This record gives sequence, structure tokens and C-alpha cells, in this order.
Amino acid sequence: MAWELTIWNPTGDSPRVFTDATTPNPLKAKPEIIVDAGGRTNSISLRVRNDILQAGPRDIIRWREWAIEPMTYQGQRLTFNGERLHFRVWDVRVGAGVIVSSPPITSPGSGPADRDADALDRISAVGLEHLLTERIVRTGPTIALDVATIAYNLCRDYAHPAIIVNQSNFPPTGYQLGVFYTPEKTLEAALNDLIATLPSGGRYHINADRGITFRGSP
Amino acid sequence: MATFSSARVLNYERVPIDAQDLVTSARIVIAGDLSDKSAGINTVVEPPFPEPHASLDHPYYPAPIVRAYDHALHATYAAERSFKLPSGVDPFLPRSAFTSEALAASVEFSGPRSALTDGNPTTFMHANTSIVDNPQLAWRAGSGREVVGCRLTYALKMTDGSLPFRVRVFAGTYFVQFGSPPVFYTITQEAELILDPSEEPREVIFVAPAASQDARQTMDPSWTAMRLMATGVGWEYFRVFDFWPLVINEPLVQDIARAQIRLPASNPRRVTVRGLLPPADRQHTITGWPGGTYTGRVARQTFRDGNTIIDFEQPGAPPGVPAELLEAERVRINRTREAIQTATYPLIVGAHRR
Repeated sequence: MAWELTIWNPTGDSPRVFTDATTPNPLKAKPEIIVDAGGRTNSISLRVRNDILQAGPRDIIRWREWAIEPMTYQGQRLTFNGERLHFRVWDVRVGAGVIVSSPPITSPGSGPADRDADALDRISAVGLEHLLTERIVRTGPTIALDVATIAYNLCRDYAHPAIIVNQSNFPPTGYQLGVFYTPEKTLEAALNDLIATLPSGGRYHINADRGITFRGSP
Repeated sequence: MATFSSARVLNYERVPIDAQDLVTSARIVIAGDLSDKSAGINTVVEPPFPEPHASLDHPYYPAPIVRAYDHALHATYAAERSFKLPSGVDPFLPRSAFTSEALAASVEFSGPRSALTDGNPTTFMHANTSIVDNPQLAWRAGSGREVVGCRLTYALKMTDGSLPFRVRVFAGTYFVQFGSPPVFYTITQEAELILDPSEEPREVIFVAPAASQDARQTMDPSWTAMRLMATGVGWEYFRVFDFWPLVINEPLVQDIARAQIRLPASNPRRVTVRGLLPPADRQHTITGWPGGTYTGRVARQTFRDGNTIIDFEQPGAPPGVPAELLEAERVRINRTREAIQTATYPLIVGAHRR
């Protein structure tokens, strides 16, 4: 299996990419990633050499993994310029999260005798939905709009800069709200309130490409 | 602060940088959460819109009055949080900040102007019953002072208890053309308050946020004046014991907001030292430390077996407990707190009294 770890700064800019071919490689072990049903990242746990990775608190990380199969023709391995060719299969952006616990960027990782391995090389990240709890809605009342349109307007105006808001990810629900008014609430609470107004419910989540999606249940 | 040699250090280890609870922009809500009665802000009135608009066509959605403090790192982390005013804190300037000389004018009120700010329950201004014009009191709060409401202590006796006694309060920029009678010109946000009859002095504190959907809210938020106008009929006497504008104590509220800021530690560490150190110390200095004398801010101290375990800059997991268990506990606590907040948040920005 091959992998790719992408790191952005806390505002989602300046991406840096590390792969299994990176030398020196910052990863000391394969990560553990927990994803809830529907694609919402629960947690990501990595063991790294942070003096190479340079991941700071609140950096955004994404883990991508794929399998490689050899490219063959009539049973023969194909090569190009002396290099063997491969297919990339099962290419999955597994999850993305925001780092909530990390070693200092000067940390060289832990050795077998170190009792504070957690502090020296463990990075913990939670799903990007955590960023929705740190943004405050300040809008006035919204009147007579589709619920998904209201959600899009709120995310467009108040979402964390690391979250990508694309209107195509907010398909109309078919239900309109008379008035929606949530001053000084978190964006997460406002989205939860919008979900609660839908007769058949709905859900939102932030995918591994940092895009927020909002959908009503059919 | 204790100073000791590195020879006393038994163990040194790093602590993971904890960035779970981050606040780089704190927003203090002055008026907007009416569940906290102790703040004394318990009445928000619905303003009548000027004719020809009818109230039913233009319901009032108040814009909360908020003061925010942004740390320099807010551009990096963009983590903001909204806070209620701490219980018991009065966010407004005291009466001593206003003098009766600031009163711009009064119409059809008799009595000493000093009665409005002297705090004496036996002195008052009173409106005359045999009048043609509506009695009025007007304050100019002073340049740079934004008026958001007023405190009013009054006594009111009605001859006809079935009739409402309305007091209209105007906040805005203020211009008076002196003359006889004086003429008031205002660019205002109006609010109307119905006063209950009370023969004993009764205090009303009210804040009138601007309407969030009203264009006037964006026109000029710097209201520097307050005018009270009684419009009721069927009353025997109306006495005003205290009346002065509510102006936010900006330095106090900024200090409260600044105290809510939470930043990630840069280089947290845990040092185990032989012997016991003073528990109340907020800072320790270790001499002979590699790289030079180290002075660190104490986040937590653990006393165990005659030794002191000092967490500098940020508390770590309790000794012996893996950091991931502590993180899991924090996640669980935050989710429980959010569930409770969602269930009990009273969306009453603007409780209406009619």
C-alpha cells in the first residue's frame, strides 16, 4: 500500500505533501483513523518525527492511501525507461482532521527507553467538524429560503477558512423556512437547528477534501 | 516564585501541545441571553416602527449587543467563541459617570435635575398632570459614549387603571434647537416601554438593541443620546427618581473578553523536582538548566512521595495516565456540554413586554 499525508496550515493554506517515498520519512508507524458512518472523521492518530513533519497545533492533515498493482500485458510486466509500471487502485482519501495534540516541532520522536513517547511523537487529530464549534453566527433573520440555501449562506459567511464551501454540496431540500434567526450561536449549533427543521431529517459532514456537505434525507 | 538548581531535577519530559480548546477571539454578549437575570438586563422592548409601517409586518429581531476582543493570533487560528456576561458583573458605567449638567433639556418636568443621578429615593423630578405636550427628559451621554438603554426609577399612580402608560425611549444622535419650547431632532432607534403603576419607587433597567434587519442599524450605531417621553393618559402623578443612560464600560468588558483567550502552549514540559515547592507559586526558575536559566509559568503541580511534579505552560495528563485517555475524556465532556447547551439555549433575544 502506498500513502500520502497532506498538511495544511491552520487556515487551509500552504499544503505540504509527504508520501511513502519521501526521504527522510516522517512517519514512524501507520496511522489509526476512525471514521464514523457516512464519512465523518472521528479521529486520526499518528506517530511521527515532528522535526521532519513540522506539524504545529491546529494544522490540518489528510490521509490518503491506495494499493498498487503491477501493470501487465499478456502476463508480462510492463516497464518504461527501465521503471516498472503500476496501476493505482483503491485510491481512497480516508479522512481529514485538525490537529489537537502534537509534539513540539523540534521533537525527533521517541526511542524504546522514552517514557514520554506520547509527547515526543504522537499527533492526534479530530474531524474537521470541530472547527464548526469555533465559529459564531452573527446574522440577522433569514426569511423564506430553502433550508439548504440558508445552510450554504451561513457556511459561506461564517465557516472556518480551512473549510471549503461549495454551493454544489448544498442541494435543495425542498423545504422552506419562514424565519431562521440564531444570533451568537456556533455554526455547528445553527446547522443542527436547520437539520432539526427538516421533516425527514438530514445530515452534514466535512469530507476528506475539506468540503462541507449538507443534505436533507429523501 | 521559587528558584532552585537543576541538581534537584529528578526527571524531565515533554508534554504534548494541547490545542483542543482554543479561543483567539472572545465575544462578550451584553444583551442577548436573557436567561441570566442576575445581570440585571431583563427587559428588551419591541420598538414601534414609524408610520406607515405596522409592527406585524416588521417583527423585531434584535441584533445582540456584543463586544469582541481579537488576539493577534486570530488571523492564524480563527477560533472564536461567544460568552455570556459573567454573573453579577455590571457592564455599564455607574451613575457617577453622569452628572445632571449633562441633561440637555426637559419639558414639562419639575424638580431639581440633580435628583436624576443623586441616588436619593426622596428626591425626584415629576411630570405635570395639567399639560398639553408630552413630558420629556433628555440626556446627552457625551462624545464617544454609545447609549444602549437606560435605567429608570419611577413612581406612577394612575387614575384609570385600564389605560396603559407608555414611555417611549429614543436613542440616537441628538440635536436640540433651543427655543421655547425646545425642538428635538433625532436620528433614532426608538423603543417603547409600558410602565406598571407603582406608588413606591420601582426600578426598570432596559436595553434596546437595534433591529438586526433594519437599515438604520447599519446607518450609525453610535447613539450618544437618550430621550424619554411619556405618552400616557389617565395618570395622577409620574415621578422620576433616577434616570440615566446605559453606556457600556468598554475597558471592563474588554478586560473580561481578554481573560477568555486561550492559546496553545509553545513548549510545554513536565519537570519532577526533589522536595516540595510552594503550591501557590505561579512561576519557577531553574538555574543551571541546559541552554541557560529556565523560567517557566506553572500550569499545575502534583505532589507525590515528597517530590513535586511541575507542569510548565500547560497541564499534562495526570502522571501515569496516558494522554489519549485524557483526550478521550475531554472529547466526551465537550460533547456532553454541547448537548446540554443545545437543549437549554433559550432563544429569547428580545423578550417582549406589552
